[in-house]
Amino acid sequence: MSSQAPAARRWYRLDNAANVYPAVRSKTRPGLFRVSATLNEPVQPDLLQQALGDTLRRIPSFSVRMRSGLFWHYFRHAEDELTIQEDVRNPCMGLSARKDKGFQIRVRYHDRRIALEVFHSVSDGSGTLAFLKTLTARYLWKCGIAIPATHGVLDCDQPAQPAEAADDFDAFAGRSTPRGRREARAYHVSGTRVPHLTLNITTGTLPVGAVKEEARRYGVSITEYLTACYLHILNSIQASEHRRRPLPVKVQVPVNLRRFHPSETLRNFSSYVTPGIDPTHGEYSFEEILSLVHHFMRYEVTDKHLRSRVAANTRTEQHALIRITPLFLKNRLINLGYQLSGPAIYTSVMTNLGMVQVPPEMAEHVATFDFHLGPSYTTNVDCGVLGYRDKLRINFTRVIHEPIVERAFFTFLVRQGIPVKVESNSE
Amino acid sequence: MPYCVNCGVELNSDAKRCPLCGVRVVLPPSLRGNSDTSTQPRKRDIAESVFDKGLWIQVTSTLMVIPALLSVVVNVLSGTGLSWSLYVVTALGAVWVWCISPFLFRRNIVPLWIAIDSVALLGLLAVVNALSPRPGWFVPLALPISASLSVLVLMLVVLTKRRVLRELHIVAAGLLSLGLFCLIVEGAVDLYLTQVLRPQWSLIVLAVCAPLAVVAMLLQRRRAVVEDMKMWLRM
Repeated sequence: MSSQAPAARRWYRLDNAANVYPAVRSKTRPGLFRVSATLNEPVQPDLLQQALGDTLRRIPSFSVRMRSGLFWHYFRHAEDELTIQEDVRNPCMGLSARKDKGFQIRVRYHDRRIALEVFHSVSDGSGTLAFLKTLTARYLWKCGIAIPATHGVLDCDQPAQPAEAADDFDAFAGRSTPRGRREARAYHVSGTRVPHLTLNITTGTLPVGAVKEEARRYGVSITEYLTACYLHILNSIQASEHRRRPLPVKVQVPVNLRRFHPSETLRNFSSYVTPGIDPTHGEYSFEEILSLVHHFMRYEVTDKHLRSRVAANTRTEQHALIRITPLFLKNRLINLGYQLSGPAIYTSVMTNLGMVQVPPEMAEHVATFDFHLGPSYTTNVDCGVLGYRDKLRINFTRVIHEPIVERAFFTFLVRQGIPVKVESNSE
Repeated sequence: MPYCVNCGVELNSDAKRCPLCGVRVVLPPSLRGNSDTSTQPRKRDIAESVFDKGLWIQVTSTLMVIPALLSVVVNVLSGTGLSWSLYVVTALGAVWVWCISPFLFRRNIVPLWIAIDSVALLGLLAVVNALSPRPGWFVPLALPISASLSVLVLMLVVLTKRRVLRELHIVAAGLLSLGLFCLIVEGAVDLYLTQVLRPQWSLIVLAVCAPLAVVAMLLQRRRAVVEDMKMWLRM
C-alpha cells in the first residue's frame, strides 16, 4: 500500500479482481453495474454536477481513465470534470470514449433519481454504494440539508484517505494455500435474444419483514433464502426443458470481504461462492435446496475458505511468467481463463448488497435505493438485491425477451406468502 | 392497487399489462392512476461504432512480420545472402506504415498520416533505388513524381476538410490535379531520359481534364443539378 495520499497520486495499479474486466470487456460484455437512489424531490442537475465534483475530489479512485501499460492496465487520475448525463431506459451499456470522456464511471439523473454506473475494475458493490451515499449526501447538502458523515457517508471536506484506494486482496490472502478453480459447466437459461443495446429490467419490491420472517421460519439468512428460491426456480425451468442430460444449476453469490478483514478500501474487495445442485442426482425439494444452500454457505463463506479462493487469484497475478507476459498476450490468456471459469460455470448471479444504512437526516429525503447488474450474454438473466428501510428491492436484468425467470421467482415468493410488487422498464 | 390475476403480484397503478405474463390489467377509469412517465426515462443509450485500433495494429504487424521473416530466412538459406529479401522487407515495411498510420494518433489527423505515408513511399523508393543494379533514378525521377503526388493529395484533402472545396468543386479540383500531375510526370521522365522538356501526352490529358473541371464548376452553381447528382449518388 502506498503511503502517498491518493489525492496526489497520478496513477493507480488495478487491484487483483480489477485486472480481469478490461481484458474481457467487449460490446456484449461491458462490465458495468449500477446503483441508484430515488429522492423525494426532483434532482437539480446543476447542484448534482457540483456535488459530483466534490465527491470525486473526496474519492479520487473513481476519477480515473483506463490506460494500457506494457504489462498491465492501469488507471490514470483524471483532473478534468466528469459531466452528468440524463438517464436512459437501457442502462449499463458500454462506456463511450466520446460521451463519457474516457471516465470509467458515469452519473445519470432522471426526475427524482440519481444513478451511478461503474465499470467493475473501479470498485465493487459496497465501494460504489459508499460513493453513491456520499454523492447523494453532498447533493442534499448543496440543497441546504445538513447530512452528518455517518453510516458510510464520507465527509467531502476531509482529504482522501490512502486506505480507501488500497488493494487489500494480497493482505487478505496472506500465505493461504490457493484452491483450484475448475468447476463443471452449468446450465444457462435460454430465450429469444433482445436486440443489441436493450436491457430488460424487472423490479420486485418486497416487505423486508415478511422475507425475514419466512427465512427465520426455515432457520436461514435472507441471502440463503433468496438464493435457495432462485436455485429452486432455475432448476424447475431446466426441468421443464426436458433435457436428456441436465446440467448443474449454480448461482454465483458475491461475498463482501470487508466482513472478514479490516479494510477501508472503496475499490474491489469481494469474492464469491457458487452454491448449486446437480439434477442428475435426482429431484430436489425446496426444503432440500434450502438446507444445501444453508450448509454450503456456512462452510464456504468462512475466513479460511475465502482466503484460499482469493489466494488462487493473487498467486496467479504474482507469478513471474504472468508478470513478464506483454499485455496483449496477457489479455488473451485472461480471456481464455474467463471463458473456462467465468460465467460458464454458473447459471446466474445473485448479488445481495444487504440493508443500506444511511443517516436518519438523509433517510427522510431518499425514497429507495436500487442495484442493477449489467447485461450478461452468457447467463442471460442476473439479479441484484438490496434492502432499504422496510423494503427489499430485487432487480432482474435480462437480455432475452421472455421474463420466465422473474415470473417463476416472484410467483414462487407469492405462493410462499410474501407480497410482491412488480414494475418493469419494458415498453 | 391493481394485481395480476395470473401471477398474483401487485402492479403499478398505471400498468396496462403485467410485466411477468403480459395479462391485460382491467381497471375502472376511476381507479386507474395517473400515467407516471417519470419513473422510466424515454431516452435510450445508442450504439457508437467502435474500431479497435490496438487490435488492428497488432494483426497488421503480425501479418507483416511473418512473411518478412520467412523471406529473409529463405533468402539466407538459399545461399545468396541478403539480396532479394530486402525488397520484400522494405515493401512490407512501407505497406505496414500505410496500414497503421491512420490509427497512430488518438485524433484522426488526416494530413499527418498522408505525410507519414508519403515519407514511407519515398523511403521505399530510395531503398529500391539503392539496391537496384542501375541506381540514380531516385532524385531526378521518383522524388519529384512522388513528392508532387503527395502535395496534390494533401492539398485536396486539407481544402476538402476545411470545407473550402465542396461537392462538384472537389471533382473540378481533382481533375485539374490529375492533369497537373500528368504534366509533372511527363516533365520528370523527359528530363531524366532526354534532358529536354517536351510535353505531349500529358497535354492531351490536361486538355480533357480542364474543360471537364470547368463544366463541374459551372454545374456547381446550379443547386438543382447538385441535388440531383447527390440523389443519384446517394450522398
